[in-house]
Amino acid sequence: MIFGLPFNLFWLVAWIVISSGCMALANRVEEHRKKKRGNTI
Amino acid sequence: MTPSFTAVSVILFIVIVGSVVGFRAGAGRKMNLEEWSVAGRSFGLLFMWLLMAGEIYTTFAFLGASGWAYSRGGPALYIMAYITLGYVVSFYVLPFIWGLGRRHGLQTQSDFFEKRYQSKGLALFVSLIGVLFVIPYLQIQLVGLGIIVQVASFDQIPRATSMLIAVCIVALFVFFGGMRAVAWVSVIKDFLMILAAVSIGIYVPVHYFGGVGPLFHSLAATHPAHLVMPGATKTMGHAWFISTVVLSACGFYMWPHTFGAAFTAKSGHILRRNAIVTPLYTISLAFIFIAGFAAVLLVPGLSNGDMSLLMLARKSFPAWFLGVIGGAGALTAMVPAAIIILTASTLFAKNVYRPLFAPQMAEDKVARLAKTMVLVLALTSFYLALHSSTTLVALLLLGYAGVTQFFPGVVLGLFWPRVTTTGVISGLVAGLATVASLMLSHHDPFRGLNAGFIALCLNFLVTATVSFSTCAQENPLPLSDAE
Repeated sequence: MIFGLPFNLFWLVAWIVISSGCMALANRVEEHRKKKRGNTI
Repeated sequence: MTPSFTAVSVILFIVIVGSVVGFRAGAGRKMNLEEWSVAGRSFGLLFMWLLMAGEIYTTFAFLGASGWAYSRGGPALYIMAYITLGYVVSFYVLPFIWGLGRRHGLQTQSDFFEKRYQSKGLALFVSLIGVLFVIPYLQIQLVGLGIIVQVASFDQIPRATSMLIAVCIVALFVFFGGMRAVAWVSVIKDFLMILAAVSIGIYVPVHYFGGVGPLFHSLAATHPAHLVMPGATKTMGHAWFISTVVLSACGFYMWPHTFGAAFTAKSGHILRRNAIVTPLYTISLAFIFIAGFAAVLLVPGLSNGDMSLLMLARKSFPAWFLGVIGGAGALTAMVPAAIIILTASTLFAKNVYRPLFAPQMAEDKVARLAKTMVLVLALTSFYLALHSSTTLVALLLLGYAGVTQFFPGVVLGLFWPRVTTTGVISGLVAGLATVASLMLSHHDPFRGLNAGFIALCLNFLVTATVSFSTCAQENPLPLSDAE
């Protein structure tokens, strides 16, 4: 148990947050790349 | 005042408030097909979030997830995994679909297939398959509504009556309000759903067990196999879990209504930001699962697991709060039901009826026909829901197995210029035939894997092989058009 949750449930909740963080990072990199190229979607 | 009267009155009040908000949203706007079906492509981040949360967090998430946590155990957690991964797929795919939609005036999934593969036959086939597999999804919402009113009325109101009332309200506010009405009702629905999920998921474990940790300790002690794979099932092991997550994540935006919602955005950026923010909403599902697991100990022996969350609420809360939870559940069924009916009726009128019977039909006449189809579809789904006996999650898995077969055609169509029309048609037919044969012969899961996943792999293989063995063709929707 972690924070009162079974490990599998905790793992999935943790990855929800991590996935959002990863996409936010990917979005920043992508926007930076597009700004450099002077192009937008 | 009896508890049944109090709970049903609160539900009715919430449904009426939701409907009034929906009706007002559509008032004063000129309702052409573009405004009615994709809200004039005008939604910003907040409305996109509301619309997408509205169509994804349905009564399936509310009653179905807790129902499977109750009746199946560990395998139910696939829901949290696939929703999160589905957003990752959408992050990379939807902005391109939106860009092409804006450039080429696409409104539906079939429009995409028709323009990309220059085939009216393929577009017609995609529309028919889309409408066919969206029906189980619509059934989920109506069956869910029936359960809500039945439990909240302490079995005083029959399920069929409550479903009929709900179908009429849904059809009316889609008819008069369109997509904008649906997004506005989502405001109330999302607020109430989070309130209900958090209330049950926190109050129940604290009240009965002294916290979430002690709840799971009790569950592990009394039902040691329930929280691990394959839970209370015999066939849903790790291979099933992984294959179902991959299948559902790929199919997340392949439903005609979720695909079509991408066209309502103001820009591709909005869709990316939506994919970043919306997964956080999925955390509320953890509370729903906690309620489902708590119900195993507190309301054991239910013949229908989908009733577990509401039976738990009925046992734990006063009647008025059961009404609030029931009202939240009713809106989580009505909002997606409205979106599905709206999209399916547009698909039928624009991509099935017009090309087949009236190629010269003007847009305003298509819009009028689509509105008539709202009533036809609503009543058809009501009839099917009346005769449904399967669980909510099983209905959803059936739909996913079907609509995910569009995934190769969409993704390869976007990113692989060598894909050909014959390749996509062959792959689609092979995938759908595999799904049908495995499911109808009761071979799902097949060798531990989800039948839809096996069909998807075969679909990709056939699409690639046939595309390589047929002449290359021009790509009328190059990615540069989406930028």
